[in-house]
Amino acid sequence: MSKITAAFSAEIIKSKNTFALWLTFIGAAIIPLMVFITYAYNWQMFIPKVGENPWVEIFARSFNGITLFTPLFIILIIGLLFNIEHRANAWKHIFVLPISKSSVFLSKYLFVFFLIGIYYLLFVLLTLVNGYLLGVIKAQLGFLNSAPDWNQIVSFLTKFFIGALAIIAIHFWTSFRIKNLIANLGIGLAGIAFAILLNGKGGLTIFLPYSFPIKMLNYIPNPNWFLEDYHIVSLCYFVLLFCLSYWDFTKRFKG
Amino acid sequence: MTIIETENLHFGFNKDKLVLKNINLKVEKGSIYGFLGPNGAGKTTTIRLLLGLLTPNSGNIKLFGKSMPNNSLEIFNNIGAMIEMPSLYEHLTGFDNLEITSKIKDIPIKRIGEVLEIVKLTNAAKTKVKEYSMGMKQRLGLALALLSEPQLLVLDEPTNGLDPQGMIETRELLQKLNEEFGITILVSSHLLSEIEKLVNHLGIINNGELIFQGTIQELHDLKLGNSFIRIETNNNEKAIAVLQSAYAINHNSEYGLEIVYQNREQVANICKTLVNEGLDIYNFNITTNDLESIFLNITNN
Repeated sequence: MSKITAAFSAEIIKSKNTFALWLTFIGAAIIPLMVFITYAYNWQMFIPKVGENPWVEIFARSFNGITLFTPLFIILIIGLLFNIEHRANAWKHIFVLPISKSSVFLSKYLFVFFLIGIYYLLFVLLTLVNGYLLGVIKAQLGFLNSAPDWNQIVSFLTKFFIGALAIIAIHFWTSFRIKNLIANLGIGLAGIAFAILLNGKGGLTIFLPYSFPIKMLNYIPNPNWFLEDYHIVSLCYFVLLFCLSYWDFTKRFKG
Repeated sequence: MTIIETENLHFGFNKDKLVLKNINLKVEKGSIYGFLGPNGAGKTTTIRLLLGLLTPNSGNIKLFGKSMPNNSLEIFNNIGAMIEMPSLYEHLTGFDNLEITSKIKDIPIKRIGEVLEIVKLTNAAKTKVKEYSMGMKQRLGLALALLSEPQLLVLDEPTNGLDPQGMIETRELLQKLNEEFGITILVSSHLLSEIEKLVNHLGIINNGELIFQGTIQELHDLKLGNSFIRIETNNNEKAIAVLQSAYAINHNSEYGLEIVYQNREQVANICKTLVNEGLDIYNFNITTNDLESIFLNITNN
């Protein structure tokens, strides 16, 4: 465990001055910024009816933004993180350090989750700032008279994260195996394009990982189940691909 | 004590074609072992096998008397390695690069200052590596390898891309590390001239086979057997007549005679004999068949 912690802190140093780190901050800010501009220019459209919580609306709109943007962010961030190692030709150095391949693999996964976590946190924080700022500018929007629905926020982000796990596992694997960043991006973009063409709907999209985040566009929670069927499929994909890529990395991958 | 030992090591990237055949390396504690061979001979592949970056088809590898790769984590604590170009994160400073490895090796931060001092990069510690010259990058690579105060340094072509001054500095640094800290060093190169002043043991590999292993003195002994003097006199026929009973005349042409000699005393004697016979010597050229040509001879065979 101490080796994983050590490798994780090494990952933090490696990410200094990288586009991956900037992308996490900028990526988290893009949707809240666009939502802010939309609200600021068309504020009359968003005056809540009596009894309506404006936070639910602003978060629903922001969530729609990240359902489309986050898959691209994940593909980029994982590709960029592994590209740091490929570009430095670093595997031959890492694999002769007194640390097991398992620890290297797990610390990389932890760091990917860490960056995605920061992205989510920043996104939520900036959406909250959005609301309070808009509330100050236009009191009629009612943000200062009501509170965010934390159940909505936590529940959506948890499900969204589970829905994205399949893409994370696919790109974690391809990114250490395929050294070309553009090729990795190409795979991801092709997947996203295909999912958008299918509009995230239809029989087979249940098996297409890139469609899972799109399925959460205009998401209305199912009152009977916490997770949708595609969330379960995403989890299954993740477990399977995690295990296979772990085996590949620790037993076969030589850098 | 033997630090590196391989037994009948065979390796091929595919089953049909072996790139390494029956490699039996032996590197003794405290030695500087030069691992020499032309490009593509199998040096880097052997080093990658030693460090567990490749898996041999057959054969055994022992480092510090323990077999690889079963004990790799324990063994890697005592090894500093640099394979081909150093693995450096160019967007980070030299200090950051060292800090990454020190975190994983659990080395106190003050050691970074010490290794930077050893490789003379203290002033460039806070400069991004992308601004380093080739020589500075090689030195930083060495600093990475030295972080954990290793007992064994494995360096694959550490002077690649360096100018003559850089090569001399690296050689002096390695000598210092060996003499002052007792570090055993395995250093590969494709240029004998580059490492002959550094190493005391040598292994020569060609086409995947270890064709010579021994001390530098043993290679020198080979060299003397192949050295000759080129002589031109006013009467080469007479010179042949007076020398041929005692020396092998290798060649006789318009450029003069080539006479094989074994030691320096024979050189003096040949000269004296010719003068005593009243011959005028126009040219007396000792063609030392130096280590480089011995190396070429061996590898060409």
